[in-house]
Amino acid sequence: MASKRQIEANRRNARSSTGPRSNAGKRSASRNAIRHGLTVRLSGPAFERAVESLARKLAGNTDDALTLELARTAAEAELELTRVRQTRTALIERAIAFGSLDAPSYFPSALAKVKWISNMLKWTEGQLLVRPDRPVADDPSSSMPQEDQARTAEAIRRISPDLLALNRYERRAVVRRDRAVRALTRR
Amino acid sequence: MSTRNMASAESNASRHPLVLSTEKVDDFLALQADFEQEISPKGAIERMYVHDVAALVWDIRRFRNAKTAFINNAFASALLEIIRRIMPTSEITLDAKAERLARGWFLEQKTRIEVEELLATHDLDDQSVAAEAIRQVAPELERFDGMLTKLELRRDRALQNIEDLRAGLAKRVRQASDRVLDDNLLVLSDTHRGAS
Repeated sequence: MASKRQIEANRRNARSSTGPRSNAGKRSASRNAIRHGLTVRLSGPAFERAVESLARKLAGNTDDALTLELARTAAEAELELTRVRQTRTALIERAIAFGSLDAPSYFPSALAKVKWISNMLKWTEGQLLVRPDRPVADDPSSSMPQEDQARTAEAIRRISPDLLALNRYERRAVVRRDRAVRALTRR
Repeated sequence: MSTRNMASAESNASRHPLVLSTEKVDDFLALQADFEQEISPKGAIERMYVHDVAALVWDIRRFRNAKTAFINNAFASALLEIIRRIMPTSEITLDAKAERLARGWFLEQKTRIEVEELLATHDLDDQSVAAEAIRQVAPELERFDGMLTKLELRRDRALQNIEDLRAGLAKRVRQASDRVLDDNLLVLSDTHRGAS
């Protein structure tokens, strides 16, 4: 157990922790939960119906309330797992089509963007004679291989950090489902 | 919309949610059917785990193929790197020639022979190029391997779950049959007592 001094030190450290500091870090952190949307529990009548239908199949021919409840937990986790797998396929599919999950960027860095805006302002104020060139969006799909197998491999490579993050959600759903199934089959 | 995207959009209607547009839905369904036939699941829970195993094996296959294709993708840049290093000093500046040779390896038999001869002058061959390709992509290969290992572990656990389920079922059947036998014994002894 942590001592009082340790607890106070932890609180002090937590207060001084302000999260990501760089713009890239803030941008990345802000997308943590949004990117996959997998932290959101599914709900709605259609989902409830799917859970109930699968739960009835898993529970077998019974009306025992506890058995059905365990079956519902297993069914919900199983559908969650299906959603994670479908998400993985959809993300790879998107990377195959566009070469990236991110929107095309017009500037190689934030500094380049600031410089361009600053030059535009100078030009509108007459301090620059030549209008700065229009930024051109990079096209990540242009560097994707054409052949299917090679293209799939490159897509997986480019989004592998995202795929690794999906593993966490998948593992959580698997653990929930298996725990419920074990409890269910012990009854 | 690019031709590829249009083709992909057209085929979306017939796609399976776990199968990529670069893969064949029939192959996935055949794999699933093979597992169903092999394991013969009994009941919804076993069927769920069998489908789990099929989906995981499909993912494993995808990652293994991708890993090989990924190394192949790096082959061109590895070949270019090696050619640049071994070209005669007087030609080192002729980068365009190195690029022509590297590209030609995949396209023209004549250039391939030329490159092989160039490699042979330094006791090198296509294995050396493959090794350079792997070296170039080693950090990413490690990530691929990490993902593959996780998938394989999950597949093994799903198979173990089926085994456990069956062992649990066998245990319950044994217990039930013992109970029936015990009950029968009681009945028999009761009968015996009654008879005496």
